[in-house]
Amino acid sequence: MRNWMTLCAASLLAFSVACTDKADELEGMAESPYSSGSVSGQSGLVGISLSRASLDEFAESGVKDISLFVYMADSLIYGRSYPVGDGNIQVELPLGENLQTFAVANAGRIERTDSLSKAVVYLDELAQNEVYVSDVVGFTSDKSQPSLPLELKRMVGRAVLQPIDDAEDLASQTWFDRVEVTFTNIGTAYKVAEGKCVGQQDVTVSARKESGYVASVYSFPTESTGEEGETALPLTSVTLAYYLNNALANRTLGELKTNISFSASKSYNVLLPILEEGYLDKPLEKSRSAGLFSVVESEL
Amino acid sequence: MRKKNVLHPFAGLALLVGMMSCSEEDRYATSVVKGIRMYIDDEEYAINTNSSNKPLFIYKADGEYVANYSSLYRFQLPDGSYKIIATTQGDSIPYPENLNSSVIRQDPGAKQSYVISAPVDYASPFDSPLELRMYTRTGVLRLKATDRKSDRSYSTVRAVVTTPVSGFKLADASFVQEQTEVVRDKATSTGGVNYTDDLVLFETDAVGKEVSVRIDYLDKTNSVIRSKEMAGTFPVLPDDTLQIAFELNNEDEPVIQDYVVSIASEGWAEEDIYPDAPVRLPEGYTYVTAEEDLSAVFDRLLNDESVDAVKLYLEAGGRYELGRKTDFAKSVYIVGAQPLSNQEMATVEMGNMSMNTGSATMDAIHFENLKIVTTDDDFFKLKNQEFHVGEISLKNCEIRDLGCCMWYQETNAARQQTVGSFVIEGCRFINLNIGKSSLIGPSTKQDAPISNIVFRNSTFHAQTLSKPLVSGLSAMTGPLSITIEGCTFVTLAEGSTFFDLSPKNTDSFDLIVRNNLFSGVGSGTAFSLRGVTSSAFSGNYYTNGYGLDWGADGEAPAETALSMDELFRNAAEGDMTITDTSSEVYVNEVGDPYWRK
Repeated sequence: MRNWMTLCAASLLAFSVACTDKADELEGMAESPYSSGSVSGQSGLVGISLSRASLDEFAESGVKDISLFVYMADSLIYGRSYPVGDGNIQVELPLGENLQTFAVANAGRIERTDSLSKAVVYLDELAQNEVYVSDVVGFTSDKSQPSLPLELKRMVGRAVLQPIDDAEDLASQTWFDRVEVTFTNIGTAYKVAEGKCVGQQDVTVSARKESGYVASVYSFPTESTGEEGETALPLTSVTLAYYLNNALANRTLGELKTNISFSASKSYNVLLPILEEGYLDKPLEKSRSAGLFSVVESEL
Repeated sequence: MRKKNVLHPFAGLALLVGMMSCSEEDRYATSVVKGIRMYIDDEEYAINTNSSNKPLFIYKADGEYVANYSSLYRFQLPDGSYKIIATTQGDSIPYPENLNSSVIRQDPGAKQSYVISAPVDYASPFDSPLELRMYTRTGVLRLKATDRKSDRSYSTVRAVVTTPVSGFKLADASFVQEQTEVVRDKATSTGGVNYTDDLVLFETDAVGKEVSVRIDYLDKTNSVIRSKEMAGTFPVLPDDTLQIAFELNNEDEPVIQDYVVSIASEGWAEEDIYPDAPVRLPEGYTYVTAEEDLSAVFDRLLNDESVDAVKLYLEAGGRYELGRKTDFAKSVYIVGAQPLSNQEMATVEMGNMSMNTGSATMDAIHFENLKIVTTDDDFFKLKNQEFHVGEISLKNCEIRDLGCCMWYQETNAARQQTVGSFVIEGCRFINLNIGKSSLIGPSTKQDAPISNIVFRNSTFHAQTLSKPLVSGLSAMTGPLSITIEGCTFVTLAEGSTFFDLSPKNTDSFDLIVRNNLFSGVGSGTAFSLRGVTSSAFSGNYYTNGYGLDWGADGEAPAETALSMDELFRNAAEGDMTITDTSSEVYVNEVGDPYWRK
């Protein structure tokens, strides 16, 4: 009798183990259960999720990577680039700490990332990229939140030079084939911790017939932040230099005042008749004659 | 002696075999879920291969929770019917609650967005692919302050949003329509300048309702010192940002009404800028913007002893008021900036003018690139002052509806008032009403010479021409020259005489009349002449059908092929645009070139 009972018990155990194994196998055909972190160690995985809005904008702008930085008491403890993917990122961080994080996409470069208070994001050299920056978000790495939502916002405004001359006149003129458009005081450096522009420079871009002589640049916000004692940043103006066969044919008479003070996600369309003599340094006849003569080097 | 029952082991073995024969097929039948297709907002979606997220939540048909799986791998389920949902926020699903009672509540911190599918019925043998369409169930309400002026009476902005949607039911992917409040505090060290905050809320579009917003202002003690409701309500759009741009610190708004709503998915906010052309300020001129008081600047320069002449440069397109300027003794130059192709000339509203130089001579009075609106009948109204002016000129100006005269003169002594030259060039006088006195009518009682009169490339269009454009030369002495060339003369009055040039006492009278066009209704007289010592007439025309008495020796004018109404676009309204570019007027460049467009 005892043997019989033992046999039944063993069978039952074997069955339950088998079935349990079967259940595990069922589960195991999916992924192994998510590890809630190394409880015994000091670090664990923390989830950070990019907003759908960010992902959609990235898709449109061709942005594929983001840079994520995590700080503890102003010092960098984690910095890495990630493919955008589905917007969900797992980061190994010390647990139970008060941390701060921000993310950047599409910057020209990011400097001084060793310190949150010093980190600065720069545009690319020709200010052609839309740069996205998140707010600096504070969090405690204790899994109290399922994942930390992070929205990267477009942190640049845009200035676009748009000629408003008659299209036929523009296409048929022969006194220039290239326009160098200089946008002055473009916000090229953005201090993340302070959320403001900390550097400006003039940016010159070329505009040609193929583009309808349209030229554009991006800029970090240069509008006033309203802080007490703040000095307003210089406004943006535009100058044009007209070239024919690489020889300067004419230019605008000084800076054309547009009084642009950039806001993020705002496009400032500078509507200008670029053939209008009233804007030019020299009368058009002189431009035409200047354009007729260009130095061509040839071998003797 | 114990007897051993040989059947016992067999029974145990049979039992064991029987239990072991509880195999896969006999214990439960399963099928493999193989093909999984997921979408977010109708766009294909796949999680990263190294992602630990498990978006699939599986429930039995009665809602009992079964499992949470990744979509990266095939998995087995016991045969049966299931309900499966997918979400990218797996940690938000309240499992292992029954699906039918699972509700995701509005995140009180308004930070969490949700992308969740409706439950999909899926039954074994799972032959068809499992298709899960996730949709973004939340949107962003962005509050953005547009203030440039700070208000440091508060240090925290509290946004209180009342929303009609408090949750999302997983069982049927519907929204819980219960009003709830979401509160978000945000500190401000800038008195509200650049305040901006994003609140993530369940969308309200699906239920056809909207949220309302109140702003509380908190001081350093966290006490509410002020509250403002925002007028109106706003939708929360799924997977989109609705921005409300408003002023936090507008004292005149107890209720925030003046705001601008924009939707982020519509792209960039746009602002068009038309840069002004650079000002090419001529040397010695003072630039006067349209915002400045032209009359005050004029007077300041007039009274400034260090200034020799009043030279004013006006903004193209600007409107100015000059008023009457009488008895001034300095030269005056008022020039408008050359307008661009998309600009108008500067407009100056002015009353009459008079000069008083005593025995001194001022160089000039000059107007250029201006639309002049006269508030008095007479432009120059002169009454017994003494003045001597080198040249009075109007260049590229337009004057409409002049009440009477450019030059109304009364003088009580010979040579008390003298002008070297009076030049009208590139100007248009439209709707002249010449009745009591000529356009230029020097005194006939005293010798008040204008020694040189020039009308060049200009238009003189009259509703009434009871007096000639120029007359009253009888008292004038000294040399006289008059040049009339490239002008268009139109009178809508019958029986007009354009010029009565009959000096009696001049030393000489040289007259040049060339390339002009005369036109009118009925009949009229071009010239009444006397005392001409030399003349040149050439290239003049009159419109077909106009009964023009030329009144002068020398080459007679030719008649155009077209009549006044055929040649001009609308002579009655003062538009003498030449309609026929093959007409002799066009080809031979006759009359005011302004109308040959």
